[in-house]
Amino acid sequence: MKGWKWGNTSIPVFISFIAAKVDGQRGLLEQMVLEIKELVVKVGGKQKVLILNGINLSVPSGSITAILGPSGCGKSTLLRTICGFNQPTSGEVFVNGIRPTLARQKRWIGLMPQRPVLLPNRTVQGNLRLVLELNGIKDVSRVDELLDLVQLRQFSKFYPPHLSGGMAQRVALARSLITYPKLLLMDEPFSALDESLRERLQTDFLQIQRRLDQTVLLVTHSIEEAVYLGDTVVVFSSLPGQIKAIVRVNIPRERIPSVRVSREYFESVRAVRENLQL
Amino acid sequence: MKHISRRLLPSVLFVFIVFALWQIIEDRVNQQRFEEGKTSLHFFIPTPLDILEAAQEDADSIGRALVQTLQKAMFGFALGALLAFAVALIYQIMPFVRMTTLPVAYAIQSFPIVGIAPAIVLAFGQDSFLSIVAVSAILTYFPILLTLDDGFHQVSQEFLEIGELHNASKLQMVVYIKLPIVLPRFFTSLKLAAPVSIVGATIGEWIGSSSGIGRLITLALYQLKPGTLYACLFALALVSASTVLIVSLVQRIVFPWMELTKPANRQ
Repeated sequence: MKGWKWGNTSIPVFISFIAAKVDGQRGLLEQMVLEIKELVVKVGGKQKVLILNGINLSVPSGSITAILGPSGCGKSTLLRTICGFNQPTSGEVFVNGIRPTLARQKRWIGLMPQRPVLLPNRTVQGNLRLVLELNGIKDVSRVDELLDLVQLRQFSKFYPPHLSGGMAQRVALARSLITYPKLLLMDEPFSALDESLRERLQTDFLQIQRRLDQTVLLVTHSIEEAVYLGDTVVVFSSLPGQIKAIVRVNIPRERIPSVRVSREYFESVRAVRENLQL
Repeated sequence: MKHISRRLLPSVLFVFIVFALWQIIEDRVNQQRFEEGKTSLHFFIPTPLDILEAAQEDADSIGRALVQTLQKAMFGFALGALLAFAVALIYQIMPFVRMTTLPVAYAIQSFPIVGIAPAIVLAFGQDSFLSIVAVSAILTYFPILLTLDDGFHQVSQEFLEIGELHNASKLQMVVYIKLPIVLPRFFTSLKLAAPVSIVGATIGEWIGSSSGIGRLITLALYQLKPGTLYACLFALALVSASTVLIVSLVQRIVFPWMELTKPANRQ
């Protein structure tokens, strides 16, 4: 049965929207952009290896969830499964309520890999256009919009070898956002940069994320990064990857660099550290 | 240009010194042999001056033969390279074709060309333009195909995931993502294959043609004209080297971005 319509919005959706606004806090009514239920992933040929075991995870809209764990804990497999490149052995993954492969077709998933992986034959602009061309999107005004966002408009005609590591990574960020994905996946995006550059890029990234109200699932092996960027830090155990703890970061959402020396920050770092058992 | 000439200068100097030493040593040896009543080495190994003399004398016939050989080699090269490129693309789009034919390609590549050439000449006919082009094309085809195919399989997973995430079709994956990454390798294989195509044409002519530098070399051998034989060889070497330069030049003009990706030019 069709519900009542008001414009293009059905009444129940409208009511829940108002309720969410009234609720203010990110609470029960907030929408989950990513939901993972009892996910088990085994990979390999005959002798399958258990990589992820019983993962339950929800990422609310507009938040950053950081996944932290030792290397080889299945973090990248998790991202690949959310992208729909790997099929779950059991359990379910939903991106904005639908299966990953379908979400991918709807361009709802953005991916920022560890290395910028920019095509050498295309300029900065061209690398952003690539995604539009693959998706059959004609509106190229987005390119400039995104380049403004990552402050690289004046470098739009540069080829990748002429970019510094930080610039290349910003282009990769712009590229991952150009389809306005509902969920942005980041695979250790700043790990290849030196420390000062990393910190600057993290702050820039936070500004962009806040402006777009972008939902992000970030995989990292740095506790500091997980705490500084994340609203929630999910601690993974080593192989097979299991969730050991979920730590809510109690730092105000306005994260300016001075947060890094605040008491709340250190407390969160300590809480995460205890769960990692370092 | 200035840059290139400066880079080539040491090599030119080196070659000049080798030739000078060659001339001096052989003259010495010949004088000694003359005193001992032995035959001069001139009949077996000419000196650089002998070669120069022969080159001047036979300049016309060497030039004409060279052009004939180059024509065949160029056709062979173009045919081999185009086919290799097309087949490598087909391999990417239809993996089962690759699975079936790639092992065969490796097997054929290990056939000695001196064995294949007579078979081809036999098939296309003695003294036919096509048979020489075919030998040259075969010699060009396999190295390019195998290099390209290998290149396509070396494209890193991260690049492929970008395409996969954005629902690229198999063709888009090849054209938009794999090809740009593989193109520099393709040009490297072209640079290797260009001189090889000339070798192919020469071998073909040697066996089954009445024209071209391959034929001239056999003639010079039977007519005991070592100067001409060596002149032909050096002419071939020069032309082969220049084909590599031509391919590099085309690469620079058509794909200037490839220059940037060379490690030396990175910032």
